[in-house]
Amino acid sequence: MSMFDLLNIGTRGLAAAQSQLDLVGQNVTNANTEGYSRKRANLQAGARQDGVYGEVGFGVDVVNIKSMRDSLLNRQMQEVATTLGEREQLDKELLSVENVLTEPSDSGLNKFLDKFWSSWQDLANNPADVTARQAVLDASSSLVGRFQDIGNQFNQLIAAKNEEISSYTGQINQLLEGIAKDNQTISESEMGGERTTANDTRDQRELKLNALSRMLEISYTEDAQGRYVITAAGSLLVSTEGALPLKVERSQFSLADGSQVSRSTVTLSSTGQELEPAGGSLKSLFVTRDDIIPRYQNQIDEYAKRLVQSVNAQHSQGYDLAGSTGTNFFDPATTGASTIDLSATVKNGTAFLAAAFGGTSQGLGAPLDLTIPAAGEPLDIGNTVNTNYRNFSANSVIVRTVGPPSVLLKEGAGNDYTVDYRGGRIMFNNSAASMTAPGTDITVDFRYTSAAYNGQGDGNNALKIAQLAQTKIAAPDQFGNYTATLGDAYSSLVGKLGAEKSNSASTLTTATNLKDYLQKQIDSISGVSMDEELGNMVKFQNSYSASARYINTVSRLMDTLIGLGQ
Amino acid sequence: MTRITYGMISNDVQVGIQNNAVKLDELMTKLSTGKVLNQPSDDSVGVTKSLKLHSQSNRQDQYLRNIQDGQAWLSTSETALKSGNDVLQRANELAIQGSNGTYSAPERLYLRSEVRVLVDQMVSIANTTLKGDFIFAGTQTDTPPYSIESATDTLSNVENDNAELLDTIPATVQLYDTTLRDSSTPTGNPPAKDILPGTMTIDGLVEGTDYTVDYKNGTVNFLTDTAGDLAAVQGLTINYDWIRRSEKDMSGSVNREVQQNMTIPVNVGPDQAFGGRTETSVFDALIGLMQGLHTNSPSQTQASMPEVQDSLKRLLQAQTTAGSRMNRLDTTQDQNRQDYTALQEQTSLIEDVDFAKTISDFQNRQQVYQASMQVGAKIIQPSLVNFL
Repeated sequence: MSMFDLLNIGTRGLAAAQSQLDLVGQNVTNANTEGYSRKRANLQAGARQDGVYGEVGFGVDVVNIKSMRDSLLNRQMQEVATTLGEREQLDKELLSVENVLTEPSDSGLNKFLDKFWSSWQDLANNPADVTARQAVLDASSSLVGRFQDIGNQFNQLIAAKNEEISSYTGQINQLLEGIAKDNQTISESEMGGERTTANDTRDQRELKLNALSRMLEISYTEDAQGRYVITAAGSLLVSTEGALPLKVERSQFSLADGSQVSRSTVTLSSTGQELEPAGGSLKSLFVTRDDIIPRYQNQIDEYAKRLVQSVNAQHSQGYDLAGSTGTNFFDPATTGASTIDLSATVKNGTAFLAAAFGGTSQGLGAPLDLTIPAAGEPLDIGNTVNTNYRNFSANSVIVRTVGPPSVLLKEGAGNDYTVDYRGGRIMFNNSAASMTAPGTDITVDFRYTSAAYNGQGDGNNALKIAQLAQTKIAAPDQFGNYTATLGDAYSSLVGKLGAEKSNSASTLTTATNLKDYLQKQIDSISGVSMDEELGNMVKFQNSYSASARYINTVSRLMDTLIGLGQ
Repeated sequence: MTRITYGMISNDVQVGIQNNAVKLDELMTKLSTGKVLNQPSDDSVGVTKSLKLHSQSNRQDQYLRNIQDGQAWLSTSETALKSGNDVLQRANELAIQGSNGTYSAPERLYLRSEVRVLVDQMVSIANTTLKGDFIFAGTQTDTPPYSIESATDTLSNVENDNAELLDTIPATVQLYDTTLRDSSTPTGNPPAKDILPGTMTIDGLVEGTDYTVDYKNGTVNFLTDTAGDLAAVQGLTINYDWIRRSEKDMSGSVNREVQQNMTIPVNVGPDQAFGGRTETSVFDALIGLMQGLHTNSPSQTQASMPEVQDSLKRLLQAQTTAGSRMNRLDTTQDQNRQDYTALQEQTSLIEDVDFAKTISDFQNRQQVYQASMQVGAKIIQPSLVNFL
């Protein structure tokens, strides 16, 4: 063994201590870096062959620098990230649905419905009162406005989800590119074997993988060169060659209420097929857009339609202040909450509200100039002249020939004619002798009863409309029978939403707790402990000093040796 | 042994503090709004119940308004019917006086003019209004149910029941309501009934000599001409005042929903109070009385007494009906207030914050929060750095 070997051993000791101190510095400064795992230098006692003694010690070797990391925990973490991402997103979406309905509050649909029904009650109490009529219009406009607001907000939410899907896809693509690049770096760097592990790039890649998992459920394998191959739903996203980014395609799509939105779909560039995310926040976006929002929106749309149908059915039976009947209260073309509106007639003014239910009125048939029909045919006044001319009053029918001379015809079996009083028909016996031959001109006069406006004090139709509040007109069962009032159906919808939201909140808490627990475990292995590092620092510092002193000693030895020769 | 790192401790401290802050915020929201329910997810069952309870309270309030409105209708009706009662009592007294054989014709005419005043009163009672609505007109609240009309009619095309022209004397002519359509087509018009005795003039003819009148039914009976001044019925002009009943259908009832599935009529119909079109109405009875007095006939005056009394009975009956409906409204109102209070209590149980409990929760939570921050600060501080 030569003197220079001694010097070499000392130098190698210095180098080892230096590289260890180097790592302490690296660890301490990266203590708060996300995804950083602490590094350790693995040392090994060096040896070399000696001609005399065989293998002899040759100082210390730094074998490699190793990241402290548990790949099993990392895999678990990545799976939890998917669950967490999915639930976090879902919880956020349900909160926004809750915010659309704003229950329980004074601006919720329920309050507006209550006010609407109440206004009809007040109208029933004061059917001719302009103030009460205006109050109905005001309450209806507010209700319609609230419905439209909800419908539009749902539509906007769906549009927003489509935007988010494409922006999330963009983020996913960036991550895929990043991972592919890291794969490249790692495989190139690690050509040199274990000694050249790309620790920091691996940390970065792990971070990206977690971020990716939050958005999309993926599975990955690591190949022999340390590259991650990532698949989603069985299709490649990152191969050993590089990233296969997702594509967003937009198409026009009609919502339930007929409004058009641009709908985003995500396709895989590896297979060209549509991606159906199995987990992650992207899945929640799809679920929100395709299931959650439509589910609540359809219900609200259904309520709007049922309200329109039921109120219109009753309203059109009633009479307005001018005595006209058959008008709709709401626009019958309503397809859902966003398109509900008052009918054009009702918008014209308060007089068109059909508060009266109507009754019968006695009418005076103007003397009609008619002709006796062909033999055997009845003179069908109720069908051919005016549909109101039915239900003639007893003994009120008077038939005369036009003349001259004007002859009064006699009623009764065996006489000139008989009358079907209810149907408004006159049957002639067609005898030429009594001037009842077909073609003879006659005048007919009568009194009749018809369905009619019952006067301004009649609020019974308004009352009937108000009573729809208590009528089961919503929530059809499998036989199509309605099982709940509108208010009750809506209340239970809000309850369902509440249950769904609180359920999602508690599953989110579970996922968050699981993540915190795993994070703790990972930190326990990979996290930087200041105390530990500083302890190590003192240790490595000492070891450095010792090596230096050793070199100093060797140097003195050499001095001594060199002094001998002088 | 698990390695504990600085990051783990600081994470734990942060999560703990955050959790406490979230809980504090929840309690804050409850305390500041006074409500337990602020989002459907706070209590999904409670929120459904609360929405329903709110609708129910709202309805109870509405029912109360309906009841109060109905009470106004019924009490106005009751007051009016009571004064109608007084009018008929007086008419009955006058009938008793008028049927006394010792009264002379001018005295009876004096009594007649007093009955005439009663008729006017009765008409105005029948036309009682509430907030501009005629309350005895069924649902035809914009039309007075009875009115005194002055009619002028020229007899032409006078026909008998078989619609054959009449121009012979003696003859009986039915007078028709000319406000609807001219008299040439009698079938179109209802008869003009209840003519006020003392108001009729016919072209200088003398009542009793040339003609007699059935005032109740509105028929004029032209007598065989003795003085030679009556050649024909046609062409004669008749003037008279009569009590016209609105031709509209006044049978509709004014209803108020006072409880769920309970609708009470709050009006008294004209038929119920004053008698229907085909019955002997209160006006028929008064006209009958006037006719007795007008024609100076004690027997006819006496004959009108049972009619007046029947009308009185009818009026009392109507008054009783109104009274019993009023009672129903009063009991319903009591029930309504009780239900309302119960609903308020239930709503409050579900929605309102139990302040004592929540404030004590809040204070507990606040202490935990402060403790977690203090402990956190103590734990995070020391590290080997400080000691080297």
